[in-house]
Amino acid sequence: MQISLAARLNQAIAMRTRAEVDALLRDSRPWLYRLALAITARTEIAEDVVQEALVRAARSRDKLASAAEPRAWLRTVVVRCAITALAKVPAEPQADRPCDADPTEALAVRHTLGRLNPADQAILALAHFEELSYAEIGQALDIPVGTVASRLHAAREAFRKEWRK
Amino acid sequence: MSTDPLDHLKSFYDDCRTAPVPESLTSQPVKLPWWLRLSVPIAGLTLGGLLALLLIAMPNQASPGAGADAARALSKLQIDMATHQPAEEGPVPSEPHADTRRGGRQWIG
Repeated sequence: MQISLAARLNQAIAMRTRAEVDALLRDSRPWLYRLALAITARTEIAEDVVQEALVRAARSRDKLASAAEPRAWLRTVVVRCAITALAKVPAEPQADRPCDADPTEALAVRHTLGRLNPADQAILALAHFEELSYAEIGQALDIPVGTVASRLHAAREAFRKEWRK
Repeated sequence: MSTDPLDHLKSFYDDCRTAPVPESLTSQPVKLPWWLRLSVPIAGLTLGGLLALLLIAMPNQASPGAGADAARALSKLQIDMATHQPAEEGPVPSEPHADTRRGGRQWIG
């Protein structure tokens, strides 16, 4: 009972104001968009993913206000939205330009990512774009830490295999 | 010497870190002052209330006059028909148009 009370007290102390949550959502948009772009490799899908994630975050404002790590919470929402969005679209990406220093290389990467399954795309982005630890990846994908290593290995191998096709 | 495909992937992610963010995600909604935000629903409610009052009041005003006019016109028509006289007002045909072969009425203009 005392522990529960202490936990609730901590939660109350950590509770963010409405203005703070609004500022967090506003300031996180560029980062969320770039994360969504790294996962989906398609600008139009990334934009939709962020819009959807922001709507969900606004609906769950209380959870965001009391989240111990709001950035991790938002990341999880975007990853889930991205996986859902990718599952609905055709596997092969269309030719658009998200971010291309070398257009041919960027296009080849997009095509390769587009042939992977959405979960592989997400775990590659979390590991190599976000540069998260296994524990953080496990939290974002809601999988055990022990599973992260094998999933990441499989995703990397899938990428290499598709690249060489 | 072939490079690891993952290097291309990492290079792509580096580009994503500086990718331009769409305007739809960066533009901020216009924040109106409180009195202006409050005036919109108040104006809407006032206008709606006035419209509702107008709709309620309109049938009560129109029905007595319209009903009396209609009754007068109907009684006049009935009198005209009973006396077989054409109405005083209204168009009068200038040429016969009734069927005279069977002894029908003939109108002379």
